[in-house]
Amino acid sequence: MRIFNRIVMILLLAGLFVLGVYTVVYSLNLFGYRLSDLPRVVGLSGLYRGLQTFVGNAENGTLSVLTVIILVSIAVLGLILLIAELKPPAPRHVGMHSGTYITRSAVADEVVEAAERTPGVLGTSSRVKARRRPGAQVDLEARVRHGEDTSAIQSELRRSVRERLAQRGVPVSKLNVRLREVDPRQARTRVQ
Amino acid sequence: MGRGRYVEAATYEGNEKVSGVIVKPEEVEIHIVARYPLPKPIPEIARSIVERVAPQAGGRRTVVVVEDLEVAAT
Repeated sequence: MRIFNRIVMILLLAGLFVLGVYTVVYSLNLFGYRLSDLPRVVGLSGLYRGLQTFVGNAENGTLSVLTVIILVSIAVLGLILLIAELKPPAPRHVGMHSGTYITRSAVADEVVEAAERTPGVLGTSSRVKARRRPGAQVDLEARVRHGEDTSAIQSELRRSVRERLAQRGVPVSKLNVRLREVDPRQARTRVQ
Repeated sequence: MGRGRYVEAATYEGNEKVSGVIVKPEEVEIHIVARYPLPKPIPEIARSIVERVAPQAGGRRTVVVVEDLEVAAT
């Protein structure tokens, strides 16, 4: 949400800047632009007419289906953005126990280290999310050869990752393991 | 001490910068890098740090953040 807010603010401020430049140019009659021409250039009369028609239709209850859909969509979007803004941000660090945290990157490194020692695994990548309660949510993707016993590798991966994190004192709240069959020539490790 | 990826774990006081410690109004964050082999499990190390820091923290809650786990060079 922070990134979204930043994008919205950048667009808003860029729009204000452009508007300011236009105002200065038209106010000072620069480059042949005159303030008296502005309503015609912007098409203000058409805008007024459209607004009058819209308000009239709204008062008479004769809005088109498309207009109603657009208005409802705007209201729903506003509600979603409001809820997203009110939601507390996700914690940055993984809670180990009361008052002790570990960075997500440190947990991810440990997960990769454990997974890449598992027989049959050619390469891995992991993503760790912190939760409000102690424990990490770990999403692990492991690359294996075609035709390997994937269920055996998957259970071995689960065991080794859980064991290693338990040794480090990092609780795991959720562990998702996904195996992807690849050509060994495309993997970093070809034989294990 | 851990410093964060962009040395964001630091406190500025006067002309001095202390890396690895963030002092907030209610909390003191101690950022560390743990090196293997560990003498004791991380939660116990954290507890020892909290025991040492708490008397100096002015009533603030002490939080330990493990920035990284390193393997010591042999």
